[in-house]
Amino acid sequence: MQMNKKLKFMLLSLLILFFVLFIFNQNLAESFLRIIFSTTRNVIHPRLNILNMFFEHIILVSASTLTATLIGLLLGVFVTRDSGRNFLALVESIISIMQTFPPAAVLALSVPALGYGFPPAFVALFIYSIFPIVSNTIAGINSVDKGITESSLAIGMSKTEILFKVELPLALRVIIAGVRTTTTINVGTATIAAVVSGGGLGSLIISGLIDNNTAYIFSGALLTAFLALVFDSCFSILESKIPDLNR
Amino acid sequence: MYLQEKTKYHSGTVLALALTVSALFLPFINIKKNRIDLGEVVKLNSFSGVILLLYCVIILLLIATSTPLIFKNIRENRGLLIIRQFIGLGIVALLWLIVDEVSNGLQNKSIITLESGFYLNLLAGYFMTIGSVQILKGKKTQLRFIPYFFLFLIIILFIAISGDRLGIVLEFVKERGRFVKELIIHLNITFKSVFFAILFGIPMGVIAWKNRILNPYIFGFINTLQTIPSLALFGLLIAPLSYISNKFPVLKSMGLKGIGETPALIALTLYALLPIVRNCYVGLGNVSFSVLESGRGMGMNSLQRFKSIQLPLALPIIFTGFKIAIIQTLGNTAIAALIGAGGLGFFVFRGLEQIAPDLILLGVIPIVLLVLIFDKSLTYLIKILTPKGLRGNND
Amino acid sequence: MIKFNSVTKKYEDFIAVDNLNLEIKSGELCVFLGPSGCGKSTTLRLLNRLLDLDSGNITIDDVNIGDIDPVTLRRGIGYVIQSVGLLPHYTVKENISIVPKLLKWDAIKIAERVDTLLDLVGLSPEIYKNKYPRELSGGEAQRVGVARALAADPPILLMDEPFGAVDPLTRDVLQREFLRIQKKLKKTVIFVTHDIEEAVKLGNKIAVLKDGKLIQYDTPDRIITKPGNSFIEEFIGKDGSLKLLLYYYVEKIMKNRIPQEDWVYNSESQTLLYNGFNFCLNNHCVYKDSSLKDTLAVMLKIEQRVLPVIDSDKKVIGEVYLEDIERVFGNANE
Repeated sequence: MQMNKKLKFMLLSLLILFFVLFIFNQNLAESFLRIIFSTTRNVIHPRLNILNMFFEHIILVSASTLTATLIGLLLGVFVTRDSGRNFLALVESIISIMQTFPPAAVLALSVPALGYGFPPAFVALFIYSIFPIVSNTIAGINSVDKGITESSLAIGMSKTEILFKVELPLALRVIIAGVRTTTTINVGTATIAAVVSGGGLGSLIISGLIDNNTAYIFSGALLTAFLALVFDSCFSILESKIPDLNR
Repeated sequence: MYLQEKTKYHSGTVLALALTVSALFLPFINIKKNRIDLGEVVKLNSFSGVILLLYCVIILLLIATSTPLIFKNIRENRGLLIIRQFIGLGIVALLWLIVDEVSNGLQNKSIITLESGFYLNLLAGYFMTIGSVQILKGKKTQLRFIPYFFLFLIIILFIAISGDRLGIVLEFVKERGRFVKELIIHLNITFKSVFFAILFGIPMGVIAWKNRILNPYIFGFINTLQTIPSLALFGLLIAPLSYISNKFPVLKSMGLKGIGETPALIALTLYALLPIVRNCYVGLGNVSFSVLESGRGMGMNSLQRFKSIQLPLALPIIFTGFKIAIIQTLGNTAIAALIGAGGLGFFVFRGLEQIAPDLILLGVIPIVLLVLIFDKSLTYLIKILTPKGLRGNND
Repeated sequence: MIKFNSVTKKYEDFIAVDNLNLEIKSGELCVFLGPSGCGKSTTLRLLNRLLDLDSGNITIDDVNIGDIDPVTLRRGIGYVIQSVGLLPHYTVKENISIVPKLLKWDAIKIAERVDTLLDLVGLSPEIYKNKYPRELSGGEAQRVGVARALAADPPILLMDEPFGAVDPLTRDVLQREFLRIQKKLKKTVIFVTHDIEEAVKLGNKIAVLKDGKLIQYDTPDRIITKPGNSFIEEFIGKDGSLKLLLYYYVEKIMKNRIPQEDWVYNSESQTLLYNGFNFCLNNHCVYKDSSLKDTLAVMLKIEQRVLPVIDSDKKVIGEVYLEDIERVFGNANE
């Protein structure tokens, strides 16, 4: 068992090392792709820089996810307060409609309104990702035992103190799960952002599809998959650090 | 939660009010001389006095019905609900007037494209009619089908009147043949993938339920798959598939290719596995041990127990898995158009390429409608299939 | 002193509390008794302003609670509920120190207070201080709940079926412990329950509520021997007198401490010479929390009309007369 774990760890480190080299060293990436695609003329895109696209992708995903988290959290908290409770049913019904919406549709719809480039990509990702976060914030806050919030109120905590000391800490796990879902979806939708000139690793895949170059597609897809798994494992580590207190 | 406060305002109406007010500052309609013209944007202030007046009346009505401050003695009741629904219908009727007025003053061959202000008002109308029924779910009224009917009627009406001007209708007329073909391809890919996913997913779910050792491997595999972006998965399949198809001409002649339907089907099947396997596993595990024991106590053998206890209790959950898989795949299939598999996504991406918003909508609207139709009808079907005693639990 | 003056609370068309008038003296333990839905919990929640009343007013020491900021008010009123409501992400110590911290006590004082309170509720501070709520049994959690309610030394304590969720054995222990604590601290307590036995055991006064109305407000013995109407009679059951015997503690009717020279303790034979009779310590003496049933049994067995009441150190702390027991029931025969 111990041996197995060590082996796993070594393999993982090697994999990460490989990707880091692939991203930062264009020559190494080229010679690697050359092994697989021996007959293709260009294996590295002459104009698109892998490092740039990689960071564009990360920036697009993190900017939209962070904004959505911030606003989604505020909205989720608002509809669970006394002053916003009237909106709870409305927000829940909008969430249930929006979650059946395909992410690609949201992206396509933002183009007529915002044109091409980073803004529509950012806005589409933001709009789509706000709903899982609001929904999980509501679920997280509602999952807090009513007896706990009520007795906290009764012993003289103010509503603000209850929100920050009781409700949010106890809802944290569920909220983080929402951010995780959102990030996963965003990494995927960001690849399609290339279609609206939003940049990111999708550009490599799309230009591969246009030029009929399998090497571009393969390297773009490989890096996107790697990025998605890295984000996801970060969240799974984060989640495992938060104890589940509501059980 | 703590204090049972009295209702101070009606949330749907407040939202509708916010939408109609913000629409004041947004473009309503775009008039293009031809398909590639950038067009001329029309805002609300350039419409005739009658329309402006009616718009103000609607905003005032929304303010009046949003809080009980003005009508202090009116409590939330059916009467107020019906008033709200008629305001919603009024919004839609006003939109129709606007489109009518614009299209009457046009030169030949000009095209109308609807803009954000128009859609916000449509949304406001939705929240006042259908939306307000949904929010009041608990209280049934006999009039609950009226808003659906009216809304539908009005949409038909303004398509009939402005159809020869409306960009999206023109695109549809032009692409009619292609539209039907892509719609069939879309449904074909979706159902084939879900079919394969069910074929592999159900045994996987049963194994995950029966076998504790394999369980984490199965869920680890399908969970990891789910995190990989769809375009990346398509891309990763293209290279090996084209290699295989080039190596074996037999397979190539059977239709196996690097791009197109093959990678789309494989990737979409892999994605659809998660909801199916997970719900199968949960459904089977859902039957409590005591219920099974009592079945044994009544002298049922294991097959009888499976047939008359386990299956009926697990089926609704398993079918919910199918539903989720179908809805998710309908959306993901749109992306398959990028790798040449066709489907409604074709219009979306060609519209994006050609900067033709109406073409984008021609792809997006049917996809969203398909999703909504399948969601509602399958939800209803599952409700019927659920044993009576369990209904209402997995709504 | 807590005073309810014509208090009414409505939910839409349903009247939860109907014109309630009640006075609870300081240091008294008043039990609100009634079936579920009778308005007893609602009344409790009106007092710490978890709910707002529709008409009438409530005063604490002649101050209208409507004039006090709810948060300030609640910090002066301890609150214990059935589900305890400890914060799962706080340790026992942190849970108890919530209110003192909100009141900005200094850390040393809080630490001392936590230890004192844990000792008071019968939990060893060393063992329990750093535990999390999920590591506690139901009974232990409820003890911590009581300690938390007492943390800032509030003069008033509200308890909403606090021992409803624990098993009968633990409940009995908790009830006895709570009586001991109450004896020491003399808080003004309002205790809500639907359990007539618990009401008789704990209450100085019992307020019987039905459909939001106060039906009878009296001492436990009078509630049982002179029920105000048929509803109460039915609620008590036919074996009301038996319940009084079972759950009425000696403490409530015993005559107080008697001088040392009136009794002689013989440690060798484990006997007590008292009132001319040699009582066997193990069999013939009663404690202050013995039930009247046990007391009566001893009296009948050794044919004595008076028994010494002793504490755990075998010291006589009072005496109990047959006449007093009879008087508990005798009221009915007057």
